[in-house]
Formats: sequence, C-alpha cells, structure tokens
Amino acid sequence: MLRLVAGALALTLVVGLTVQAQATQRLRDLVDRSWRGTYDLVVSAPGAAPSSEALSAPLDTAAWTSSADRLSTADLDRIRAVSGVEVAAPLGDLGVRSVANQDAVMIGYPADGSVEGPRAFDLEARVHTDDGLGRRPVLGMDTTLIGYFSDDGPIEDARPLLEDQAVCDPAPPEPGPCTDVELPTLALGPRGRTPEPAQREVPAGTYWAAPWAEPDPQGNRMVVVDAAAEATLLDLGGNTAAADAFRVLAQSSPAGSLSAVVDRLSGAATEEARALVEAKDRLPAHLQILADTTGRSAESLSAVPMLATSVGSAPLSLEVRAKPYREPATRLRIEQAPVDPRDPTGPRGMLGLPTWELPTGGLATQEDVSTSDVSGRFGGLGLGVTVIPVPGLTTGQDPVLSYDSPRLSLVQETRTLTRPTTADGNLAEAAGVETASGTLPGRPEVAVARALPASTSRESAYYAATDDGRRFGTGDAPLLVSVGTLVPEPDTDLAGIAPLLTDVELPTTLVADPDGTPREVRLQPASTGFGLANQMPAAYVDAASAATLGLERPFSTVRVRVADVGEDLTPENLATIDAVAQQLKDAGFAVTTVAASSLSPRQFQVVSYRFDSTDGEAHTGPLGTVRQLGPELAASQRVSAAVGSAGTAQAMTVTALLTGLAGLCILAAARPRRRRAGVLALQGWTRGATVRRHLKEDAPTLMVLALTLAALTAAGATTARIGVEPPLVAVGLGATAVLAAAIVTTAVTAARPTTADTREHATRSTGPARPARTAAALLTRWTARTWPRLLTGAAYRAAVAVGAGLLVAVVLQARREAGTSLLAGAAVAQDLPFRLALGALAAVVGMILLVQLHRVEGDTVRAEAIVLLLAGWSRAKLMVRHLPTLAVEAAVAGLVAGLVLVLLTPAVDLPPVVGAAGLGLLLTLLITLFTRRAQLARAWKGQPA
Amino acid sequence: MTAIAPVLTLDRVQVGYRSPDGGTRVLIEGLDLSLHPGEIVGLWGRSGTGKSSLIRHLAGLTIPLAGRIRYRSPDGGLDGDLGGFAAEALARYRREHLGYVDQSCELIGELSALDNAAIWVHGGPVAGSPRDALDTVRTQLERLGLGHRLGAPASRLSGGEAQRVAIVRALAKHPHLVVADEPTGHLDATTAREVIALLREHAQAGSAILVASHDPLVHATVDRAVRVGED
Repeated sequence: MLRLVAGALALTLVVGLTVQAQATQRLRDLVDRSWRGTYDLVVSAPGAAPSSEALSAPLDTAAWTSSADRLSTADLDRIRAVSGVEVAAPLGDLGVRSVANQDAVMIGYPADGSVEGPRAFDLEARVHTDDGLGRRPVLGMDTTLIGYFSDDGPIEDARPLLEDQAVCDPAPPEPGPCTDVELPTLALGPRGRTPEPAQREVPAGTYWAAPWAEPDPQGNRMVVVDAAAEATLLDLGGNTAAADAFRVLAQSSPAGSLSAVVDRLSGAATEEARALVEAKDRLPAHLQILADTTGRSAESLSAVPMLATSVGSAPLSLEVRAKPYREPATRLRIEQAPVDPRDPTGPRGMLGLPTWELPTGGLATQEDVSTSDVSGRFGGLGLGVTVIPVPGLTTGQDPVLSYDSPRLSLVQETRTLTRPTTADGNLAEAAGVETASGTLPGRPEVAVARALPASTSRESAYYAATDDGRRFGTGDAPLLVSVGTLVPEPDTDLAGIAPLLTDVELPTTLVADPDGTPREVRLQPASTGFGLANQMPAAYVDAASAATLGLERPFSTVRVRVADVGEDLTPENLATIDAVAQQLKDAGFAVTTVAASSLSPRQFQVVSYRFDSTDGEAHTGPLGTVRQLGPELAASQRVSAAVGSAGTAQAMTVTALLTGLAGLCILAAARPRRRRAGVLALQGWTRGATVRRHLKEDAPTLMVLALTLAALTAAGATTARIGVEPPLVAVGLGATAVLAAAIVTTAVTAARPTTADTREHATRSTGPARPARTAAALLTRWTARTWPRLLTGAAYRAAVAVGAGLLVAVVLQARREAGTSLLAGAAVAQDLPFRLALGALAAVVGMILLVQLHRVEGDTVRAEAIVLLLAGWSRAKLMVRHLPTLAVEAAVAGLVAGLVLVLLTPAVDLPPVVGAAGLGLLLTLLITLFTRRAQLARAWKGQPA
Repeated sequence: MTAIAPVLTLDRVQVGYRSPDGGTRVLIEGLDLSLHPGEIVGLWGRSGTGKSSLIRHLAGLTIPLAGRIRYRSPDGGLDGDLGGFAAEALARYRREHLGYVDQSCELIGELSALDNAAIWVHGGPVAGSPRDALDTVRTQLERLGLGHRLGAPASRLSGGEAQRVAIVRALAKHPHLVVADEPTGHLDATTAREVIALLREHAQAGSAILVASHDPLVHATVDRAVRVGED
C-alpha cells in the first residue's frame, strides 16, 4: 500500500509541477503579448490629467481630450525633446460641429413642369431608429407643402400667381379672401432651371427642397492630431490601413486654398483623394456655391483637409406620408411668401441650396407613403444632402437622391461637450441638448423653426453641448475637405489599451432592466452622438491646420511611446517607462502611465432614458443597468501577480493536502504492522530485526521518493527556465522529504508491538457492565470505542474539505485581485483549465488515498460483518452500523473545516468556498460508503440469498 | 423421539469447495441427516474433513455444492430450504432460531463481552422483550463465570472468556437449533463441563444441537454421532 501512496504523491508532485509550469508560462506569454499598447504615457497640462474617479465613471468622451488646460505646439516640442521619447502623438478636441438637420435631409418637390399649378400636401414625416431596444420614432415633422413653379423666371411675388386659386384653412365659412392662413412651407421657383456645369452629376429634373426639421447638433466631434505621429502609432499597432489614411491626411495638410490641397493629394491612395483630383475642374463651381452662402469670395475660403470616420450609429429610417391637402386650390392667399427661394434672407428662407433635378413623375392625388434609409444623414459630418421626394411624385425610380460629391463642408461653429452625472454616479439624461439654432450665417434664429407645427423629438442625450466652444464668423469659416475615411477596428485588442475614445468604438450593453431582469442588448450609438454608446470622432484634422482653425493651444493630451522598452513585462521595462514619465513630470507636465493597462467593464444605472416622444412630449424612465468598457491602469501587473500567485498557491495547497493525506495512510498502515510485530516478538525477533524487515519492505517506496526528490531538485535548479516558482519546488521537496521521513519513522515505531498485542493489560476490565438496550445505543457505544479510526477518518475528511475549499478560495481571490479587465478575464479563462487539472489531480489522488485508507480496515470490517450476520442482522443493517461513524466523522470534519475556512477566507468568498468544501466532504463520504458496501458484499458473498 | 418432526434435515448434502482452477474438491459426499428437538448430535471427523464447512452451511454463510438443507421450526413458523431463504428470512433464522458457535469465537473487539453476547438482540425483532433477552444474556454470562468481565472489550478477553461469550451469544436466545464448532476448544475441563451442561439444558428445553468437536467430554455427552471423512 505504501508504494501506491508514495507513487501517487510522486505523480502528484511531478504532474502538478508540470501543470503549474505550463500555466505560468502561458500567463507570461499572455501578459508579455498584451501589456504594451502603442503608447506608454499620456501627458497632459499640469492638473489636467483625469482623476481615477473620472476614469472609472461612465465613459466620458471628453475625459481625456477636452480639458480646459491645453498644450501648445511648443509644449509638444518640449515633450518630444525629452530623452527616451520615441513617439509623441498629440490629441485635442476641436469640438462638436453644429449641423442643421435641414441641411441633411430634405423633402423635394418637382420643378420640371410635370406638376401643373399649385399643389398642396399634408406631409407627415417620421424618423425611426432602433438602438437595440426596439423600433421607435425619434424625430417627426407634420407640415404642409405647397408647390408651384412658373415659366416666367424668378417669382417676385407668389400672391398674384395664386390669388385666383386660393384656398382657406379651414374651409371658408363664407366667401371672401382668407387672410390668416399660415403656410408652413413653400416650394416655389423658376421651372426648368438648367443645372450649372458643377451640378451635372445630379439627376435630371429640378427640385426645390422643403425645409426639414429643427436643427440639432450632430455627433460629429472633430479631433486634432499630428497625422504623421498618428500613422506611426497605428503602424506599431498593426493597423496599416488606418495608418495609410493618416498619411494621406499628413500629405494633404496644412490648410490652404482648395486647389493647393487638391494638388497635394495627387497620387494619394484614398477614394476621396482620387475623387477630388478627378473633380478638380468642377470644384470651383462648388466652391462658389458655398461661398455664396456666406457672402464671401471663393478665394477667401480656407480649405482644411480632414479625415472622416465611418461613424456607426443606430439605423434611421424615414417614413414620409403625403396626402392631398385639398383638392387643387381654387383660392389661396399667401401673406408672406418668399420672393426668391435662392434668397437666404427671405421670410421663410430657403437655404440657398443648389437645385437638383427630379425624374419626371406623376402627382398622386391619394395618400402615398415612402420609406427611406437616412442612416448617417442625421449624424456624422453631415456632408451632402439626401432629398426625399414627396411620395407619389416619382415613378419607378429610387426616391432617394443623394448629393454629397463635393465632400466640402463649412464649419460655422464648434462646441464643447460635457457629460453630467448624478451625485450618486448614475447617468441621467442631460437637461437638454442645445440646438444649433442661430448657426446659419447672418441668421441668429432660423425662420423655418417656426414653420414646423409639430415639435421634433430626439433620442436620449447624455452630453450637453456648451456654449463655450468656438464660433467662426462668416469671414473666417473654414472649409473642411474630406481626404479619406477611417474605418474603426471592429474588435479591440487587449494590448495595453487605455483608450482615449478617439481610436476605438467600445461596446455599451444593457445588462439588466430596472427590475433587475437580466438583459444582454448591445446599444448602438445615437445618431446625435450624445447617447449612451461611445462613438468615435467624426473627423480628424492635422495639427498643421490648427492655426487656420484658430487653435492656439490645440492639444489636450500627448500620447508618448517610450524608446528602448523590451517586449516583456519586466520591472526593468517598467522602470524605463517610469524614468521617462518622471522626466516629463519634472518638465512640468501631468503624466499618466497607461502601459500595462487593459479594458475593464464597469456598470452604472441609467436613471433616465427617453423611450418615445412621438407626441412631442418626452417619455422618459429608468433604463436599467448598462455596462461599458473603460481603461484600467496597471492591469497587467495586477493580473500577472494575482493569477500567478494563485496558481502557485493552489499547487502548494494540493501538495500539502495530498502529503497530509498520504501521511494518514502511512499511519494507518502502521497498525497491522504493529500487530505483526507482536507476533514476531513472541517468536523472538529483536526490534532491530523487525525494523530492518520493515525498511526492506519500504525500500522500493523510498526509492520512488528519492527519485522524486532528485527530479524536484533538478526542477529547482532551472526554475527560471521552466517557469516554476521556487517556493513551489521548495514545498514539493519538503513534502517528499516529510513523506520519506514518515515512512522511516513508522517503520521504526511499528516495530514496537502495541500493549494490546502483548496483552499487557488483558485482565483489566473497562467500560460499562450494562448492556446497550437499543441498537442505537449499541451503535453509539461502538462508534465511541472506535475513536482512533474515527479520528483518522475525521482528519482525512477535514483535510479534504479544507483543501477543496482552499482550491476554490485561491481561484476566487485571484479573480478578485486580478480585477475585471479584459486581460484579467483572458488570463483567468486561460488559467482555468490548469486550475481544474490540478483540482482533478488532487481529487483523483485523494480518492486513491482514501480507498487505500479503507483497505487497511477491510479485514476488520468484514469480520465484524460476519459476526453481525450470524447474529441475525440484515444486510441493510450492516451498513447502518457504519452510519454513526460516518456522521460523527463528517460532523467533526465539517466543524473543523468550517472554522479553518472562515478564518482563512474573505466573507465574500465563503459561500462558494464552503460549497466546495462540502462537496469534497460529500465525495469522501460517498467513497467510504461505496468502499464499505464493497467490503460488506464480500462478507456475504456465497450466502444463499 | 423420532415421532417428532425434525428441525433440520440434510438431504444428500455435498460439502466441499471449488478451487481457483475451476475444479471441485468434495469433502463430504451425500450426507443425509435429521436433527430433532431435544437431541444432541455429535459430528466427528478428523481435521479438514469438512466439519466446519458443513457447520457454515448450516449457518447459511455458504451453500453446499449439492443437496438440500431444510429447516423447519417446531411451530412451523419458518420452514424451507436454507438456500431458498430470502435475506430477511435468513436474518430471522439466525437471529431467533439458530445458535451458532464458531471455533474462532468471532467477537467484535471494540464491544464489551455483554454487548457481544447480546448483539443479536439489536439485529431485529426477537421473541419476547429485549429487556428479558438482555437479562438472560447477563445471567448466563455470570453463570459461566464472566460476571466480572461483562464490560471488558472483547479484544481484551482471553480465549476461554471469548469462547464463553460466544456460547452465551448462541444459547441466550433459546434457539431451536444450535450448531457449535469446537465449543469447548479453549476451555478448561471444569468450564467445559459447565458448557456441556448448558447445552444439555437447552436440549432438554427442546433445542436440536449439532456439535463438532474433538473433546472427549463432548463425545461422552451426545445422544448420537455422525462421522464424516475416513478414519
């Protein structure tokens, strides 16, 4: 039996050490691969670094990049001059660009002569979205459209044209002119306008677009970077496509005349660059149109190259329902019709937009509906316009006509974002998102807002666009020129990420309803850009254009990559980074070390969410619990330490546990030896001769242990290379030595016969002279008198329970200490099979040892069973005889294990730890029951029944 | 005496064992035997001729190679082949009807002499009250000179003491059938005579007794004897 015990322990040590070495190596590989991103430090102006509270709060787009204290180009040069700085990539929010919705989607009326006379329509337009929580309207417009075109050139006054065909609303109760009709929208103009050369890419036919909706600022955050440095960082991260896009931005910068920018784009690889180069001859006409809107000359517009991002947001669909307002009008009075729709200063001013052509079509006289995908039109940069014809006015063609080829857009104003939270850290809807009203050149308030009878509704907004941004007057409004598109990476890497919310889109997920019901819904970014879900910037502008944008101190942060840092997470590499960080601090900057960071989920309650507002009123309520990912600094060190030490602790626990169990087996095996020693003593054997006989029997066992010692010693000599922690080797060596010593000791002590064997006290009467009056009393008495066996069993079970609990406790502790970062999750998941392997090894070897322990008692159990059988005990009752023993052993073991685990385990881990302990205890009881059953079965084997 | 129905009937019982190689070694061939209430039957034969094996068959611990062993209690409450008894019937047979004395005594070391002798009381329902049974056990132990050793663990008893405990354990239940294997093997002559007298009392009370022994005192006591094996 001892050979089996020693063999099992040796196997445990060797296999356990191998498993742990593998686990350690895999952990090192993971951490070394993940600990460092493309930048190691984030440098800010003094006092401008985000606090740890800000980093752990619900993600704030502006946390890193919108500080009031900013850095200048000179500051950037000082940072780059610091020894050890390999790359310094600056970053700064330019702000949120205000875009009016009416510039994005319009409802058009044909002006090609296909529709005769004035026509009036009731239009009901609804924009629906689905951010993951179901389809619902977020924007609405109910209006009336009256269209009329003349062949007589620009309409000087609509009234004479319509006076003979007027209608009143409501229908006039009495004849006579109506004077109080509010005409929301007019589409008037010269028929058959010939497109200018620059507009030849639009379809044939002519539209006048109807104003759409109340303007909103859109999710079009713009960021200033050093495009060349950005490309370097992206190359380091392996994102070559994005790096190439930034190289085009660098190539086309700085800002200048449009022709100069386009000239610099020659040979650039992006689709936008090629289109601009090809359209070079037509661009002056576009430029003139834009210049006209600001009342400036085309030459005075300064073109700023930018890199747009394909910002994803929740899909938006527009449903337009058109009904005849009345039958063709017979009498219509218009009090204040626009005189010239191209005049932006008119009372209900058309926006001075270029004209578009419309395919010929009929005019419906009944209700018509069209549905169009307008995703992206109410978000992003809002470049270009989508025109939705009045339903029924087109036949057989896609009603959606997009116009966005020039990729030119004027920046009139930018605003700064803030993200308010409640005092308890929950996220509430912002009090209101300021609209961009008043942003039109020379138009502090846009008249079209009054022309919309039904108020718009919006998606929930959690940012406020403040007024302390920058406004560009009509004289210096820069012209954005899109030279490329940056496609965000769909998945983020674990690598050292401390995202500044500029280069990745991180998931936002609803994980529970307000009542706690689990959900798992990934939320899409709102089209406004101010929703719950994080959204990338809409555009990047090179720092070389900062002066044109009026930015004196353009940067909020500078990402620094430190030179001469190795690939592995080592104290030396961290020290190199720290040294550079210290130099930067000494230079007066605030520095945050983001090397070894990872992303970590954090949850927060959203106490206010706008679900629906189709009736113009906001219907808000609690949304529930939302999970987002955010940066966790120094995660790699934490993960490495926690998971690594947990593995070592678990392996040491397994070793100590099985050594203890093996020791109990050795002690149990000594009992029959001592009985045999009594027989040998009666035959004249000296104690020395008996000891020698025992040692001879144990020689193979000791040999196994000696080989194990040698193997462990060899492993200890190469711990660094094979990834084994020295303490683990030391414990293994100690366990082997202890076991060998125990075997030798018992070999010696078992050579001395017990007093019972010599019957030294054979005449002594012990115990009560009263018979047990009941079976229960008998079993109780019996159990009490077998206390040595009972003690051994209780000790064994307690050891197993404590061991099982500790195995779970170290894993739980590791998980807790490793944190909740993605790296921690990956490390724990990767480590779990090793922990399970060690646990399984402990369980299997523990079972083997327990069976061995029971084998020692087998003869006694069988002899007892024979006696009981002959006394008329049933087979079922034979097993009952063992139950009190098991109950007492389990109770004692449970009590001891519980006390030990309560002392060693944090309260938060107690339930699973105690559960594991209970499971271990139960397992030992089952093994004992099955073993006893087998032993008893042998006792009645051969009986008649 | 022969008019009374036998308690135990052996019909062409073949005693032996099967060797590991599959062969069969027969020790007793075709034994026919009837035991009647009130008689003491001796089972003689040299060592290794199958006496103990036969007695273990009668205790229901093993089954014979061939033949039938039928037990019928005088009141007819338990009647049938031992080989056909269900587990519960077999347990009842041992607990109430059979007094069994093994040559190695078979005591439980951790229990006292008193508890060992009375252990059948706790195996299930017994005739009469358990308290009376326990009193009987105590009385018989005291009669056999073990009054001062009642509480001693069996592991601390001498061979003679253990054998007396085993005999009391077998007889205290007033069984209809007693099978004893060398019941006086560890006893001095005085105690052996006491045990034999005890056996005779039980026979006179109606028990049928089968004794395997080499003890001349026992040989002189039996009503008749059966010899197994060759002389």
